[in-house]
Amino acid sequence: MSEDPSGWSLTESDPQVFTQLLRDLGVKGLQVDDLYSLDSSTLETLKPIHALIFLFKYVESSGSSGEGTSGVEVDPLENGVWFANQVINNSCGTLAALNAVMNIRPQASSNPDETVELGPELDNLRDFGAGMGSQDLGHILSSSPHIREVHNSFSKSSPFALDPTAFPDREKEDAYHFVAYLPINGILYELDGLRRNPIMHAPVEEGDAWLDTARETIESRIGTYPPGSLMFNLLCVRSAAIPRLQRLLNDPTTPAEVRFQLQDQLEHERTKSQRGEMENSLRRHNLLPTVFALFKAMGEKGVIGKAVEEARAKGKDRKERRAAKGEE
Amino acid sequence: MSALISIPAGRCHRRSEDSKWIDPSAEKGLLELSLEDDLLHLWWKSRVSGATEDELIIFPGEATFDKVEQDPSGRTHILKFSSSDQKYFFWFQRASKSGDVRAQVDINALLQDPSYTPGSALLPNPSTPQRNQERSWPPTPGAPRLSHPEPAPRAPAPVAETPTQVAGSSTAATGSMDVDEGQGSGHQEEMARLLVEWAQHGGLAVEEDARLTDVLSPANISQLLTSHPDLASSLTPLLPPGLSLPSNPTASDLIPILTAPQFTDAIASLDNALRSGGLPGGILRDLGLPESAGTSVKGFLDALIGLSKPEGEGPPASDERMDED
Repeated sequence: MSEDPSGWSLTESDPQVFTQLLRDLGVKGLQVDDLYSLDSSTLETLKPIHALIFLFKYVESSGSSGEGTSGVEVDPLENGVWFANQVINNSCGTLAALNAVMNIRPQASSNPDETVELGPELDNLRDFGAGMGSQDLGHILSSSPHIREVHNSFSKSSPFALDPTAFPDREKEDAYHFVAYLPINGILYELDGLRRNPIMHAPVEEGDAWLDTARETIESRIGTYPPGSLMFNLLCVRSAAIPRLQRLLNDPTTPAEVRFQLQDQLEHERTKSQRGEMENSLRRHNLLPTVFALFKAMGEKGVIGKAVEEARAKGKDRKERRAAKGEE
Repeated sequence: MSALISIPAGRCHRRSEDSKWIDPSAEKGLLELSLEDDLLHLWWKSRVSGATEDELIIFPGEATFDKVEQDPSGRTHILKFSSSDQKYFFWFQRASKSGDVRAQVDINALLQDPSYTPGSALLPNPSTPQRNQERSWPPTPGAPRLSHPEPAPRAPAPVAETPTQVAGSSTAATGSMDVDEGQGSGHQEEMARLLVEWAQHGGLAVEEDARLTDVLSPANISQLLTSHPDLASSLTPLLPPGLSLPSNPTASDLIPILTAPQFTDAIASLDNALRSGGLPGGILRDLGLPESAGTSVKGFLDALIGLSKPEGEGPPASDERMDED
């Protein structure tokens, strides 16, 4: 696990958290996945992709001068972009997800499970906030009890602040910066809640072509940081996979050779979603009683002594290696 | 109206009108900053009554929020006005001290510039905490606070306001850490003092090389359940509903769940809490462990090791011990 217990735990930027978050906010027909590569064969299995969420943090505090981004700041209202500023600091991930999905156009489908829509809650929010500035939209989001509740529900497993008003994740989340990239009205935008305005990058063609432009933009941004000074991860917001795969498999006109592949993908999506549901249940539950019960059982069964010795040896080892490194 | 920042914190009061001593009050509260009509409000709310008990309007740059160096626990902070001699004291009440520096930096930066985004200023280098006092002035949000070489007109040290530390540190295992509401008010100050000491004690705890995540590693969890399948029935009720488990889950049903990364996170947070301030004795008591188990990782592990030794004299009472190895 992470060497630094106070840092953002990787599981929190887990795509399954985002998927569930959107679902809990009433969004239909979308899911979030890790994107390990931007090459066309990886993208092919994930299409259609509606938005990318780029999350990163500086390993060293060297990134002070350049913001690392190109593009032009534009007024969101004039350009038909829904854009909220980040006004409180425990909301970065949720805000980036909302900035992305609020700009994804609803898509009706003959298969109701493949319909993409925001759902009544976010639709209302959109109507209510029509014509408002980004700062105000940020305040509306941050004061929505439901959004806040959903957001916080994923960090219950480590309830170390013993009172509910202390959010132990605040520091964790701060470490990462979340930026959404997506095409809106034929233009690739970068939506970073910490910037005053959306950043307009380039015109893009209909369909999936925007992904190429987005890849170039993100890669050139990564290139502006000294090698090794940036940790990042890329997520994609895509159409829900399982309903589409099921439809294709039920469709008698789907060629047999493709079926095999689709069946594979369906299997993969199901396993992933089950695993995600299990992990999300754990995130939403105080795991400490179970942890204590396990520790106690180790004590009562008399196996703790050996485990502690091994852990101490490991810890000493770690310390010595660190010391050796420091002397170099 | 949403707050710009909200930190669990209690107040500290002067012992008397012009006393040099201040005592932390045990009452749970929240220190919040908020922007209303373009004015920065600072308020302190009781978490017991929910009532806002202190409210101040502060103009940018008019006040500073700093750690009180005289308090060895490091949790007491002073809100000091440059325009007057008003001073207010607060102590951070989060379970872990790990976010205290961040909270101090954020609050202070917001006082200088209400448009500051909490979390964005760099923290002072933790390896040189003493240099804290050489801060740049006024602090520039986002700029490294130690990077300004010019001597800063450092806020006069609040020499007078040494927070109370009971002389001769009593042991941390007093167990009086429950500062829950409903205690006699005479007790509260004493308890709050003990709490400060307890936090202090946790900060100075003996370093333990073993990490809890290595002790209760996924491999050890699997092994424990495999050799003691009877544990499954007592662990299952502690797990969240909705895991689609069979009605009588076996050890092998539970292992994939108990070794999920969320458990490692929870164990790491327990390790972190024990290292950065300890746990209130009451929690440990409820678990049937001595309160000393809550003072440090070592105390916790020692208490667990103690469980495998038979109480009093006589041969080991349980056969389970025989299963070992």
